[in-house]
Amino acid sequence: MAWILILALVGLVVHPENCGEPTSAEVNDAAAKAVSWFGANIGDDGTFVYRYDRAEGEPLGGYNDVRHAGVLLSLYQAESAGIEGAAAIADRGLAYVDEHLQHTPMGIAFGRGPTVRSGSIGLLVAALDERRGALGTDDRDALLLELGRTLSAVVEPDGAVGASIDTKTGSTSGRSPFFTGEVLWALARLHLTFPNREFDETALRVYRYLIEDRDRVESPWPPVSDHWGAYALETMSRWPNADNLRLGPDLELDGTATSDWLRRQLNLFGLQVRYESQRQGGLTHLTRGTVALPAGVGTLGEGIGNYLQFLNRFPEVDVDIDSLNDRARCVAHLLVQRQTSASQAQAHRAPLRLQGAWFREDITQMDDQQHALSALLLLKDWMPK
Amino acid sequence: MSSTLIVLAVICAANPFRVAACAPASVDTRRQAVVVATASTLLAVGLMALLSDPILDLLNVSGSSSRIAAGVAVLIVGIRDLFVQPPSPEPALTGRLAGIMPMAFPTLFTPALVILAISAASARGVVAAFGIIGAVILLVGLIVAANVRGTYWRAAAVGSAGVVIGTLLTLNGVTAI
Repeated sequence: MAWILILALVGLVVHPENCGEPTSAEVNDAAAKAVSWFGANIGDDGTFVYRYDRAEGEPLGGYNDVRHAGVLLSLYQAESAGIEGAAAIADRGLAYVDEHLQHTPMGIAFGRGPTVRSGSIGLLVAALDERRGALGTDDRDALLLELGRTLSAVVEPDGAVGASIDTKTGSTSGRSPFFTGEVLWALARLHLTFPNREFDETALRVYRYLIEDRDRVESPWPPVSDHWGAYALETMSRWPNADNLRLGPDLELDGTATSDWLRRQLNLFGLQVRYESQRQGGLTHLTRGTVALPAGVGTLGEGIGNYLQFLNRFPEVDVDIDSLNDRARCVAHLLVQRQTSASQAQAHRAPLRLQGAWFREDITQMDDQQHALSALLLLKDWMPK
Repeated sequence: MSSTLIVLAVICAANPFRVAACAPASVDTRRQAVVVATASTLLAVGLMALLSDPILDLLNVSGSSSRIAAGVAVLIVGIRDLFVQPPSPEPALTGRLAGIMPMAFPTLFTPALVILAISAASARGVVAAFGIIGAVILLVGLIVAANVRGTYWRAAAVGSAGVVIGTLLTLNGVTAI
């Protein structure tokens, strides 16, 4: 009797994990389908279908400039990864960007209205820099450098990043759990592309703030599994002077506790993947709740994918790499499994709104596709052939 | 999952004072029963450790999550030991067979010990896990054979430690990748 009771209580706490092992080809195929979704859901003005309700068969309206930049980024990442046609779709999306560049006292910025968000500028920089590499063109370099100067200006002396910019006065306000990492990654990329423009100084200030002070000062709850921070660390580890900065094997940056940050982040990503994989409907709906937003699942893949690349560069770093590989396969499996297939979409009156998309409770939002796409691209090389 | 955590968790899961409480009173029979209980528990633990990967694969549970399971099991066993009187020597098989029932089963070979063996083998490898757990089981056997009294208060003290160690082990699983 005691055995049954104890095992039942343990079973309430620990559930089976829905983890498989998709092949690299399956993951690449899912990414290509996501690109197709963007191709089928872009308008003449360069915007994408922002939010769609498949139960009602209606777009739900709204738009978000940070997410627009994020979508462009994921499409240029797809082009870099060899999915042809992705950059052409993203280039159509640049029309919306060009329409909404604003001159502010801080410099040029991207966004609508009297306040613009630093995150939209950060992700636009990342997108344009990715485009530069994917297409081998420097036609947007002047804009990239101008946006980089704006980003440098929103960084405070202690490395904190202002979330919003008043386009009239140029003053910044607020903090965002994600913009710090987005701006850091943008600055880190700019230093790789333009090594003589001193973006590294500002990037290092943000980096130090991110890993030492951000959680204490801004107290985000629950703790942020910061996929943008993962992108940034991976990029900074490719800086020509990464060894001098001791960003490498010993994971110390001028005494900064990078290793502590890395381990905290890996634990967060790992726990969230395990938790998400236990959501399998039925009784688990009561104990684990409904599945996470697809964008959220995608960010888990982005974080883990970047850390796998980072750790592959520095194999001597002591982390549980086997478990990390398991979580990578698991999150890729969840994304492949949850994507809307062509046959599922055919039953709908507007199949192109569904095919290749990820839904949660009948709703999809363009950043669901964005994060899932980026994650699949980052993870596919870690999957079995 | 450190060796220290495994050792402490096994001591709590195989609470020696509960085992002592249900051991035969006669010194000679008690020693023979301890040998039987220890040997049969070692055999079962070794089997669990050996089969840890297939069992976890079958249940679709990751090694990290199995630590949570082990922690919760140790925690529950600890709570039980805090509030439930140790078992009495009766009913039991006679003579040295009392080492099988009630000493090994259900007192020494608890669900917590089973899950611990599976989880530790997954984290540390079969040989290392069996080495650590086996050494603690032998230690428990020596304590029981030394004719210590299995009082409620002693068993409850180990139970309270089990609550702490179970919580720590659960947190160890939660914060694992």
